[in-house]
Amino acid sequence: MSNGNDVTLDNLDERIFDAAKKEFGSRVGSIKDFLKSESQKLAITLRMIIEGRINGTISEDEAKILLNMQTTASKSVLTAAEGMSILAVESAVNAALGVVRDFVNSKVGFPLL
Amino acid sequence: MTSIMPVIRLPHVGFIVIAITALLVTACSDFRFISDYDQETDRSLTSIQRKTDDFIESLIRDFGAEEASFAENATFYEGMDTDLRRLEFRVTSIPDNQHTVELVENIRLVILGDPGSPDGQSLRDLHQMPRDPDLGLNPTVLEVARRSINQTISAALSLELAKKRGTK
Repeated sequence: MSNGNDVTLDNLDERIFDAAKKEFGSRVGSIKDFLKSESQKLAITLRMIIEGRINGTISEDEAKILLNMQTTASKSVLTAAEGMSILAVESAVNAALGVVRDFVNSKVGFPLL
Repeated sequence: MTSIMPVIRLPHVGFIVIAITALLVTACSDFRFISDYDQETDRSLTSIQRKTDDFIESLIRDFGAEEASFAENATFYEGMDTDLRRLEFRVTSIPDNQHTVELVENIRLVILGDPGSPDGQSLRDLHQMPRDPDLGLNPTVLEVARRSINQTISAALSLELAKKRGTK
């Protein structure tokens, strides 16, 4: 007897989309949190450079180097976030295929997925 | 009498069997767009973070003394160069690992800099040009530098740990 969770030829697209959306959504949420907290850290560092220049504890040459280091740190945050986004897509694709794996494999008669 | 059956040479049959087996094994596995988690990369990043953090802490503590000068601490940068070369070799050996390769390049950039670049961009560059070479670097400068270095290493570590979660 079938129930609402069964995969059929008619609801295949729906099942795939739902699984991908759920998995991707939770991953994107954690990437957003990562970007938010890292952006706050970057803002604090920038503020420290400005304050250091104003009160004279950081020279002009030092400020230039510190700003270059800060730029590299910012690029790194974006690179890591990009990698995490790819992982989210990877995870969504695998979750989507996972929910229909048994159905597809049983229909084609061999382990295709 | 000559046989009219097509001649199938054994190496070709073997190749086809291997190819089909490989295809089935690949098809049954999860899809991978980015490299898997690597424990050695995780350990190396953690070690580099600790060493750098301890080093900056000692420079802050010794500010004003000869122990904080670049000349007294050149061995730290030499050792870090070795650690980073090993890590670079490791991460470039792993397929589909371009993001981590880029992140490790950035770690080198913020700690050791780029000898080919006229602009200073690292802790070493800062250390080689303090206002008074005998005093070492001002603690404020070191604190700001530490934040950027930690954030760069942390970005690489966060991605590696995300890979770990992704493989579960």
